[in-house]
Amino acid sequence: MYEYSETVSLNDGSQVTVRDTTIDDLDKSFDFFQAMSDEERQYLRIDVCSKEVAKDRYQNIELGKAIRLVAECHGHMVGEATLETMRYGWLRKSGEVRLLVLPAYRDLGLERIMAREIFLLGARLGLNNLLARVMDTQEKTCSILSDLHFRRAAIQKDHACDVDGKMHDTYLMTFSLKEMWRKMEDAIGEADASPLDTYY
Amino acid sequence: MAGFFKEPTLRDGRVLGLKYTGREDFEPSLEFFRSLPVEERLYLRRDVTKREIVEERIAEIEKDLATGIVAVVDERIVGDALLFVMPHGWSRHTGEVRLLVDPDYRGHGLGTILAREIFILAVKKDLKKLESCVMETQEGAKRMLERLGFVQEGVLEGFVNDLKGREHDLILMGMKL
Repeated sequence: MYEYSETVSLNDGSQVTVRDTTIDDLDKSFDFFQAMSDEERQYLRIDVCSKEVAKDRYQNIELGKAIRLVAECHGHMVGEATLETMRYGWLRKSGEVRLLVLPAYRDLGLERIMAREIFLLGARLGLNNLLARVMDTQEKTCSILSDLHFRRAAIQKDHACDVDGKMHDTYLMTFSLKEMWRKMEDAIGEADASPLDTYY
Repeated sequence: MAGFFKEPTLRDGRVLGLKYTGREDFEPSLEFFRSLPVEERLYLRRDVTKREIVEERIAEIEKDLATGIVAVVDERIVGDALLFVMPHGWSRHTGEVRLLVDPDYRGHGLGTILAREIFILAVKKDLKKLESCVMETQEGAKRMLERLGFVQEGVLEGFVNDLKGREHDLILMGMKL
């Protein structure tokens, strides 16, 4: 079981604890999604207003299909980041990243903190690739992912439908952890091959 | 043949039955997936030769996340099609198509028959788009999707691993309905 807990200061000075989550957080998680507007919920792929579905999501953690971090402030859940992985099949070395922060806590650095932790988690799990799906209207999310060196790998035309029934393109943004490790190994290899006096 | 919603004839004259996949198809499905040549199993999205994965698939159908169609000859499954739709969220108008045909039944129109039934299902479900993805090595599957009107939308380089662990590009295909 993955364990993580860290208290961080956001840009406005507020303290938020980012930690792993368990089935005990089910009610808090339910309240978190209830606090969202319909517009916000359009970015979700499941019916988070259903307790049954919420329970399924936590079961996925226990089954090892997902690892989730939550951000908590004054006892309330204000953000959630998930790394979904497949145990079997052709995507078993890839993980999908999902990130959700309540509007009141956006642009305070929390999205970046959570995205970074999920990114590091993917590396620790030995994944080769990370994937994030972003609707064409989610410019801020694209920007955060770009800062983390995700690149736009594909555009799925008219993949997404917003709450008003309008179709949108979806950007598939990917990051190759394998490529990152390879570059690091190359850099270390070059350093090893250099004369020692280079360092003194 | 009872229980079939359609009994099409293939180009070579063989007749088969089409039915919607249900719990009763668990064992025949497993048998079908396990009968596929090993080199083909390498390129399956999920390792459907495992009981737990077939169970996962049946559970998706029972939860109404997916609709399956199987082609049956003499109580043996020879083709399997799945339409996967997320019930909520931005992808609710997009269906994902997965298709698998017994090698002995390829080239006789069964893939097209199954794909056509999936289209009919998609239209009934008021979907706006169908998507599918293939490994770069699955040239036959890609060609079939293109013939059906799918176009390549993108490539995720080195994104998938076959059962032997070799890396492959994942080709994303899509078709507006």
